[in-house]
Amino acid sequence: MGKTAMWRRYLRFWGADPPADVDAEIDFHLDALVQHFIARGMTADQARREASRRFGNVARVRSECLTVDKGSMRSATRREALDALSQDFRDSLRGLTRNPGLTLGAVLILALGIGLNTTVFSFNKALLFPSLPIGDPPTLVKMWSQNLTRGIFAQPLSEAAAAAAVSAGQSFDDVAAYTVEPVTLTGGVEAECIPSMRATTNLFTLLRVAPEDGRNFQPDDATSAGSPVAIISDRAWKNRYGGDPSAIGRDIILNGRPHTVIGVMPQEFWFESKEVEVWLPRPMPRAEGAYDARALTTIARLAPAATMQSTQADMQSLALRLARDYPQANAGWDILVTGLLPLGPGEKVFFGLVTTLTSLLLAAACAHIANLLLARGMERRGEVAIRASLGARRGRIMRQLFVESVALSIVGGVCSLLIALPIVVEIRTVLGPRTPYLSDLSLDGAALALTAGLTLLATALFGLAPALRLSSVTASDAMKQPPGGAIAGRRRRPLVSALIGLEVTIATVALIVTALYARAANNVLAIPYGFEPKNVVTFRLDVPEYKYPEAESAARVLTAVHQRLEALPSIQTAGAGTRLPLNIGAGLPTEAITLDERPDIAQGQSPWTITTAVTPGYFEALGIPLLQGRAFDSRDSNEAQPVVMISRSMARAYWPNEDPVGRRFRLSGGATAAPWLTIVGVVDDVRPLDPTSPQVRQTYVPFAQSSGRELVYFVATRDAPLSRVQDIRLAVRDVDSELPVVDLRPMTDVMSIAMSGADLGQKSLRVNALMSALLAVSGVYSVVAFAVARRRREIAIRVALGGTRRSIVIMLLRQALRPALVGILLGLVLSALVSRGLTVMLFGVDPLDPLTYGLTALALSMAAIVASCVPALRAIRANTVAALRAD
Amino acid sequence: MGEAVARNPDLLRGTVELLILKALTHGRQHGFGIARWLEDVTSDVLRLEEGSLYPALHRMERRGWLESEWGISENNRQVKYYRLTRRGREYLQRESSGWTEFAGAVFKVLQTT
Repeated sequence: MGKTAMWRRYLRFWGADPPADVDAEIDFHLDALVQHFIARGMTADQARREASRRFGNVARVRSECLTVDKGSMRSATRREALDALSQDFRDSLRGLTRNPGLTLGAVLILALGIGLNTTVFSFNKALLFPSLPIGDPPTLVKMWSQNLTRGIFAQPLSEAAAAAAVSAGQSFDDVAAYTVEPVTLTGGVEAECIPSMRATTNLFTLLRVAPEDGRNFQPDDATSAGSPVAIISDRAWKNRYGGDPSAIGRDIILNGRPHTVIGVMPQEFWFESKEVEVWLPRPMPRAEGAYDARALTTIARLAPAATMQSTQADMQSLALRLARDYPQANAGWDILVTGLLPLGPGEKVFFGLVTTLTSLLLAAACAHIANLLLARGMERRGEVAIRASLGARRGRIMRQLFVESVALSIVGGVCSLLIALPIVVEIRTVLGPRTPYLSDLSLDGAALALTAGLTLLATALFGLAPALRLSSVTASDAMKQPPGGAIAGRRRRPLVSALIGLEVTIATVALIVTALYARAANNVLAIPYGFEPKNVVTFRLDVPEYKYPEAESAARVLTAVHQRLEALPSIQTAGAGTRLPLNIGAGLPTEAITLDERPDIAQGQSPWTITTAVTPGYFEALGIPLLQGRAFDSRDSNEAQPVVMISRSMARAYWPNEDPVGRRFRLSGGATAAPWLTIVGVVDDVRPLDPTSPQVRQTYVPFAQSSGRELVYFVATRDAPLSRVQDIRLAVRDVDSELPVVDLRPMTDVMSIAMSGADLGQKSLRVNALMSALLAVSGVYSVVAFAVARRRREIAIRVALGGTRRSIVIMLLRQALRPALVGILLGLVLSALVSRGLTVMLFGVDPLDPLTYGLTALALSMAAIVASCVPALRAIRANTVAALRAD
Repeated sequence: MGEAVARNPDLLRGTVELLILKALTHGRQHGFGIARWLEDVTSDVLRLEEGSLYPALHRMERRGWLESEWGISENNRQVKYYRLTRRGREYLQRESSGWTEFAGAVFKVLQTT
């Protein structure tokens, strides 16, 4: 036994052999004991017997020892596996840092792909599936007036239309209507203008929310002649009442009337606008209410059986009925059913486009990484084959390649946060003030996980593709050929070509669409505003009804402020109008008109206009040029003949080829006969914010002949507009110290806020296109560079054998240029399909604009040729001898 | 006493491990050497089957109290030597002071009756 065990011990060189070890130990002990007893005078037989007695049961000792050892073997295997994994990670990190340029590029690409996608997904989710502090938002719909011929996409409903919606029973469980309007709050240190929501008493019930404290509105709150009531926001409660529970039951002075506070909303609650501090009850819309003033936002909870489509159909028939009953005010008007946030057709297309392009960018990024990994895998073919021949298991080799792609994705995912977070912050600051849905936009964890996961999957798959192929390479295969020989090259080409083609296709689409959009945006910018915002300060005044109950007294206050401003020495001119130019932020109150002596147009085209009441000085302060006739002045008073001025487009639409000055029309939205208005002047167009909108048919009426409690002032200063702010405040205070000055800011600020959304959109498209193009070009480059590296020896031989450099370069270029050209062609076709759907956005640009398509294709082809020439030329200039020796 | 200890395997196991650790404080040793040392210092009172040392040694090695290496014995044979690790030394210190206290307590109790 002892003898046979001896040689087995040498097996230890090839790994632990516990049974042999245990046998050797026991044998030694028994032998030594025998010697020990013999030395004490026993016979050999006696000694052996005594030794085995003293030792005990050999078999049991042996098996006990082996049990213990097996346990430690198992943990040794586990430890070894962990070691191997961390070794893989170290190896892959070392491999990645060995080629820092390549790795940095890969990480950057992944970070961009993941970062941009996460941002876009978070953005879309915030808009389409917002988490709102109300119950079950998906079953809530809003209803809007829509008049496409007048360029009106979503305007609130008229009271009559809202009433009709309320009674359109089967679609809705409940319908509520509201307006958001400023109210003047007094009783504090200073009069304040705060946003309020005047809503039907069922609003909170419909939204499935309730006041945190106090009670909800009851139906008779809106009708009772008793004390008016109000529910306040948590913020108002904390800021204005210091969170005092006894605030409920106290009075709050709104528009000069005491309202009893009956409830406080929960802290997290907001609806429509986070600024709303107070909710006031209003009666349900009445069928006999106005049908031409469209101001009631209407929201409904869908009945369980109703869908958006069925509701839209119901509302369509309702709109037709209204148009039949009141053709004067309702012909051409549809009722549009939307989710909580109505997206205009342009916005929908734009979001869709950005989402698609960003996803495509991610796809291109994945393709690019895949390519890199494939190339790296092929480069390491020799190394891997040698390791395989030294006994590294196939699983281990695959694992290492896999770990490499995982490591890349993880680093890329982490870095993507550096890209995504600043973008999110920018969106929040730019768009947040306009869309409360985006005001606390944050990166969506699920979106990040999804994008990073997808990337991981894609790169892991491509990380495995070379691994699978490589691990089937036998040692002799690898030895026979230099790394990445011709055979392997041919085998991996289809995949690489497809990936390059994909990148180029995506780049083509992104570039063309972006170019089209940029050209459209330039066209939009090229359209002059029609006024000069520089050195103009604007602010708004709201004359409270409680203090000046008569319309005339309110108008007198506003006029007095205007006169006081004009008297200021530091300003050039001052004017005021009932709204901001460009229709920024305001509803779009179009009115039907009746033309004098032109019954033909009245019948055929149902003429309409947008009316703004302005003071003298309005056109001058805003720099809107007078084209014909005269501007308003002090003659156009309340007692004088009613006059109007019109825009150039209006003149051209209704009085083509004739002088409109002296012609008459009347605003006849209602059935009542309004007075004839005589045109005294024509001014240039002020373009609407959206230049595709037909809303350039404008009518200006003198404020003195109109009425109103609200004016937006425009003060043209001689110098930096902000230095005049104090003068303006003092001028207003001189007239009435309790009059709150609202939204005092330079007109340029108003413009940049109004334009910022489009800017952001352009920026995102441009970043996207640039990235796609860079990816495509560097993809093309890497393919040629890799082919060159792989075939260095072959090239050297060809050069040595007298092959012309040209033929060699062409041979190399073909490899990358063929898929690139196919990609460009595919991209052109795809762009044509995509841009057809973008017509809404492409203001004045042909979606198939040959110049854009041609230039993009040309630019990309040139870039591809240059990218592939660089490594190809470098290859043939390389030292032939060195290249031959290298392998 | 030897019989009593031998009949109680748990008590024996703990004791044997401590004794092995103690045996190795003098330097590396193989199983046979440990058995001889035990025989000497306990004056044959603590007679145990010498084979039972081996599972104990292997167990202790696995716990990290000992480490082993193959070497050449006095009579020129391949033999596995065991040596104390730092952890084994610490364990011995901790346990032996516990043992002393325990034995002292038992001794006191036995004295008083």
